[in-house]
Amino acid sequence: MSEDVQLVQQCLSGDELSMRAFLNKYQGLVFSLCLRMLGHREDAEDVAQDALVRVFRNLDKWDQQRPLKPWLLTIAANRCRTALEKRSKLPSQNELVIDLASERREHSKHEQDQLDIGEELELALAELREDYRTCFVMYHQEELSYQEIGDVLGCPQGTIKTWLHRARAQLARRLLERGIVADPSAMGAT
Amino acid sequence: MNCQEFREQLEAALDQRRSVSNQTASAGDVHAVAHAESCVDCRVLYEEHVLIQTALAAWTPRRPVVDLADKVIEAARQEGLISSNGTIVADRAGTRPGSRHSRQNPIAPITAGPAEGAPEFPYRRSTILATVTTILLVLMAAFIVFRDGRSQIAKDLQPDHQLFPDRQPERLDESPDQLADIGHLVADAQSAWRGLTSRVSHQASSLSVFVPDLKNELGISSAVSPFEMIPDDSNPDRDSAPRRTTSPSAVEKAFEFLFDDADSAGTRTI
Repeated sequence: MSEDVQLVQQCLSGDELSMRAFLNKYQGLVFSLCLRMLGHREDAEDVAQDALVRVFRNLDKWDQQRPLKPWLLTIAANRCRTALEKRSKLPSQNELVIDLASERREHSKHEQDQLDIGEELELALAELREDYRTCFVMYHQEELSYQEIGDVLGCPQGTIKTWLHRARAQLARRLLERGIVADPSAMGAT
Repeated sequence: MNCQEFREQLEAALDQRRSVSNQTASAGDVHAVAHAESCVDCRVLYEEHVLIQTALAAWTPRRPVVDLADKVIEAARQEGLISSNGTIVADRAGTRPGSRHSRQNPIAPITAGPAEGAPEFPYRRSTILATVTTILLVLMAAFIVFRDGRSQIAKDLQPDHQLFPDRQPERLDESPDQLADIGHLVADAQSAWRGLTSRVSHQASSLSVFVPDLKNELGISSAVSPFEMIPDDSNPDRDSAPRRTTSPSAVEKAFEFLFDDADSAGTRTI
């Protein structure tokens, strides 16, 4: 029995400590996705909380033969899409500035001159289209497969691959526009 | 290697989450890098690939710090997903989608489940109690109907039915003596009223307010007060404090003066 299965069964029995352990393990993952998709911290907290409550509510529906992380992210992504649809109906949607990049900029303003290429990637990522950004993060950060990302986002695998290629290309262009140039000779096997 | 093969090599590297480099032992990577150096279009793709892979290697995605545990736990507790003391509130473990349990409300807590191995009893205690009470009430109603008969019950339910048939309404005893007393009282009251009205009308006609000279009319000298000093016996601790009151004889004289003919020479008008 895997660690996740055991934890989930303890949560299903109503054990609060197990639920807290579950939250400590996965709330960052869920909130990170919500923040990536929504770009607004308070909205992301609300949606992540809603998503986590739904996770507990439907925990008995999780197929224990499949990995837990994509299932969690699917619920979170669905809630984020619902929130984005509501936001698109608001008349003042333009005022909802995606503050992820600005937070990063504020956070590292004094380190502006010392930004490494990883920080530049983060900044460029925040300016990507939402679905490209989500796809990129799920693939490279969460290390989900194309199929799992497709399940989470409700898209075919081919679409996910296309989005991932476009995301990488746009990120590379933005890094180049910022004067970031990689040295191919310095790149070893990774 | 041609451009198509180069793109396939890049895509394969992406699928395997690795970089294309001439420093690897892969012959395909070496050929791809060699092709990129000779092809302008593929060189752009290769530089982008290298740039992104370099950035990814330096990228340490920081998870934003957040603590939603208390809020989520509280929300879960309000939905009945967790009990306050952490005991088992719902035996949902092992239930699979599509089963009878999974179609029930997953939030509803089952506070007292059957013992392990015991057959499941699907009814709640409150339901059983309500059913037994209803049956008892119906039986009692049936017993009353068969005991008294329907006609008697219908008669008892008549609106003009007298609950205390033996009790008669009370009547006043109109004896001749009582009637005579009442008549005397009424005559006295009428007489007093007539005297009072004539007295008031007479005083009003004299256009004066009469103030009786009590001392002269009552025959009381100035040295003697119309009030007698009576010691207060009700309070022995009190230092024989006198209590001022009027004597009965003085009161009688005052009333005679007031209600007899006031035109005597004792009145003074102002």
